[in-house]
Amino acid sequence: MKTLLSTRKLKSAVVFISLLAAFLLALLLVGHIVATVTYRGLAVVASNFPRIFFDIPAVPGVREVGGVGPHLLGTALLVTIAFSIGVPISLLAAIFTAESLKPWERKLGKMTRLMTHMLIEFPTIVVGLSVYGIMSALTPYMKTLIPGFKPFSLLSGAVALFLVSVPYMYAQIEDGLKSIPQHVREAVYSLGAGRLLTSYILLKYLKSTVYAALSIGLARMVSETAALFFTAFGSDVYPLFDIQMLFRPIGSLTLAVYYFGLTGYENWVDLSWAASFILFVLSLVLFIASRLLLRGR
Amino acid sequence: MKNLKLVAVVGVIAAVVVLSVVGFTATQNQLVRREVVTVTERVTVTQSPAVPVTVTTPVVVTVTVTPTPTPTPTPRPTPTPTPTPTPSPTPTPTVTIGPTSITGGGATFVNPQMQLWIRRFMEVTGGRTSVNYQSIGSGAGEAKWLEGALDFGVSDIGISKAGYQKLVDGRRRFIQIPIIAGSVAVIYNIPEFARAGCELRLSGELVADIYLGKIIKWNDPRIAELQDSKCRTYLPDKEIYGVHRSDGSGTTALFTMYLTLISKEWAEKISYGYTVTWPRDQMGLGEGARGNEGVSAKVLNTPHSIGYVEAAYAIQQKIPVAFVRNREGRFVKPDATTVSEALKRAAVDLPGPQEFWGDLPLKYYMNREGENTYPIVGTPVAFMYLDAPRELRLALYEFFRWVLTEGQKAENIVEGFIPIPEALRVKALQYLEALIST
Amino acid sequence: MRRVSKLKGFLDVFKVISIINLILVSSVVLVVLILLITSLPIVFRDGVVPLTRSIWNPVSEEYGFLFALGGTIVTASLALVISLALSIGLAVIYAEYIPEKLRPVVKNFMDLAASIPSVIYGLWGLKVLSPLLRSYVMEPLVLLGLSPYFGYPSPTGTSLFSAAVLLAIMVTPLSSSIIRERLVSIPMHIREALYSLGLMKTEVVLLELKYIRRSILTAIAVSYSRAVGETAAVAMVVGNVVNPHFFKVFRPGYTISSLIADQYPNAEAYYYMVPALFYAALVLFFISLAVNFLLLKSGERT
Repeated sequence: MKTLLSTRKLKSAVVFISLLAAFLLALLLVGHIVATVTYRGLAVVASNFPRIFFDIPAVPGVREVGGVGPHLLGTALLVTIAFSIGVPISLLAAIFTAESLKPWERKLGKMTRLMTHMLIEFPTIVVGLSVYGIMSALTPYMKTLIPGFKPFSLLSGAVALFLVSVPYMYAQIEDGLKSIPQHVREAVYSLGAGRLLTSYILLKYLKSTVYAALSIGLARMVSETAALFFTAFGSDVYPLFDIQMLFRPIGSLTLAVYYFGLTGYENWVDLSWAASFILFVLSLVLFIASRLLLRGR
Repeated sequence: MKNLKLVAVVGVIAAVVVLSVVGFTATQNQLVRREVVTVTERVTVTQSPAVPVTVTTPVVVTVTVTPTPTPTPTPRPTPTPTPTPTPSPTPTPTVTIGPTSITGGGATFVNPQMQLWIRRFMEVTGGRTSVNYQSIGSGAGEAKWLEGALDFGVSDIGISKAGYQKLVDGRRRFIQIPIIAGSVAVIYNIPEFARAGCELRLSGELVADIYLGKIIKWNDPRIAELQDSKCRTYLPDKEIYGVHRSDGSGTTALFTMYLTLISKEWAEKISYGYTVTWPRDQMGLGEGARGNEGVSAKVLNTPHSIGYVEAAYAIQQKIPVAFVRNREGRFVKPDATTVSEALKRAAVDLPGPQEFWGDLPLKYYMNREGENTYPIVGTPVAFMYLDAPRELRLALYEFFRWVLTEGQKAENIVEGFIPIPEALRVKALQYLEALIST
Repeated sequence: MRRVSKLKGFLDVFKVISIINLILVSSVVLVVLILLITSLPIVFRDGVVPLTRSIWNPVSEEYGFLFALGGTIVTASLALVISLALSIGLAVIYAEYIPEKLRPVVKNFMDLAASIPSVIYGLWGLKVLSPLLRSYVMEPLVLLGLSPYFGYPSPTGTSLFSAAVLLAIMVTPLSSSIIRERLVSIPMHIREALYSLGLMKTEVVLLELKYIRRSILTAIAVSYSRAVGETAAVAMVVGNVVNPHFFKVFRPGYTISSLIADQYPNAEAYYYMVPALFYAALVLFFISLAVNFLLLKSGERT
């Protein structure tokens, strides 16, 4: 009996120690990433403080690093446009799916769910290439309307970002709507509201889920790289600010991290770290904002 | 709590707005001189191929060609540089161009140099023309330009056969111009050699046979016979580890083109391209690495290895570079003189701007005569359409003209890069004229 | 149903909204179609041959992406194993051992880690993780004489193994949060019942893990999708070498998404390379669908 107990104790100790080791290792590794990015990036950002946010990147092989102004602006514009397309579409699509009644509606709803789920399974670079394919097929027709229309553009980038993030936003909102107890829904209906109004009321009830879904979508947009290679294309200089800006290539912070990080020039690698740090802070801000919104429920 | 939420929402919105506004003002600052500018094209009396053009901008930047006497065979009347607008005999076609943006993309190799040019060019012109270049790769640069997504493309070795065929079928009018010199350096790591203060000498045939897997060890008699007599004994009895680029690259294309030119067996078995299969890999005596920095890191960290990188990168990182035997039997290293020597000879018989340039290095640049010429050379090639809108052509003209004049001066060249020789530069400028003469 | 009757006379806005769903559905169909159409030339030329061989020779237009397919599956599975260990450790310690006060700190930290852009993971993996793994994990193992099984690491440390570890670290925050939430929400009466059997705490934990195996399967499915589709970060650390021996994980290799990112820039100079790349993506997509389907099915059964 005693030996049995001690083997049990031994086994228990081994399990505990391995669990603890995994826990500590995970925390350590993630902590290391955060620390490295902060350490390498903050140094560059701090020593070039205000300029790093506005300047264009310096030439390679010199001391100064310049800045990531065009990329910061590009990310802001891309995300703003993609988000303003993505929010209404994912909200409405989720409402449609969750509140569908007629057979054809149910079918379409199921289809939407399946298809958007399939979208997650593609490497994002493939999504980007497909958007490029669609845009370049459209170009000859669009050119008659808008002379400056090009497949490498702010618009293409935003569409790619939208496609990459919409499955996450849509699925979460829809899950939230579905999880509402039937009696609550009935109660709202019994007030005489139509399906759309009902959904609106239910979404208000679900506020925190919606915020969480949208913040996940936003985070995906901010952090996406591969989908932008052949859509937003990237730019290391400021775009011209005119009416055709939507149809011109634009930079992005993630592209800056990728392209500058892979070169052999020291000042560009530094710039890459700085861009990573700014991206990190950006996602931190988004994260904190979403937490605050969630707490406010 | 409600307040907190409000603060958060307002904060995020404010951040986006502030960012956009700040970014906007920053560019406004940069684009102070966005006023509409008049470009005056003066056509000289004689039908000279090089037309002097005065670009009058508010900043009064007068870009004029001053072609220094060169050994070009074509007799050309020397155009007088005219900084002041003098009445010209022919009517001056006047076009106004507003702020224009040019998008280009392609070869990764030229990217550092291109970024420097863009910065300087935009400083000089006050940001009126904004140029954007992204290093998406030679193949993609070509393909996206063909599809009309780019205003100009840059490729390490010129438009491919497939691409050229498309252009011919579509009856497109275009030009190609060389913009900077490129060359490939053979790098190596033999600790015994380094200790003895010896430097490696190779010939094209040897390099081909090493990568074909026919020469296995460093102390192969064929390698030994090329070395300095006092260095021969230091060649170790070790297997050669052959490192190459893993990603598709123009460097590989140039390197394999040279091997194709030199070695019949290489031409039959492997041929040339952005990515090829490496026989040494299958023998377990070689592997690939990503990018110039990957190859050089691998060579520097693996004793008894050999590799190849862009000469610009090797020069800038001070990696030991092997001598390569040229056509005259001399052993040379890539540097500004030896590369220019090779390229300037090609200026004489450079094909026209609308010909097929895909095998340009193979046919015209590599293994040229001359005692001091380095054999593995090429030029990244920029290409643009002649049937593009006039405004775009003028902007392209202005940029590439600057690149081929001011851009080739030492102060506008990134360390390690080599400007194209004068003869080739003048030829390129001639080709460029087609952009405004149509 | 009562709801249907309530709808009568109400303007059917849903028909209008259905357009949005149609747009979503058709855009995905378009993506799949583009993939299909682009890969058709090589499908017609080679059939399934590219699936069965490891060759990447654009000069002779011969393509076989077994090495990339193998690399993807090896890195993804290795990453799943590592991340499962890490995330179970994280979740269990969080749910069972940590004092109440510390919980929000750990939770927020891991949720924050989940929102870090993958390209940052990639940069860290390239500059920090790969050299670290090479000198502290791969070289000691090679010294132990394991190189015939794992291969000899490259000087820079970029390898299939580094990619797998990086992927594991990337997916851990997400998968641990799924397991964690489920673990915390185990009803008190079940927990009490387990303790009343006289079991030790770790034994209870193991039983609890068995109880929530469905969530663990979900976590695996989610991690798999991310691990397979990740492009930028993997392309930075996987080494990008055509490596037919993809089981030798210390050697550099390719995954399908990194192959696309690495070869696409020069692919269009050739006739069949882009079709080959898209074909690879398509095959990967079907594999992912199958894996997802299997995982979800087995999750439903248990």
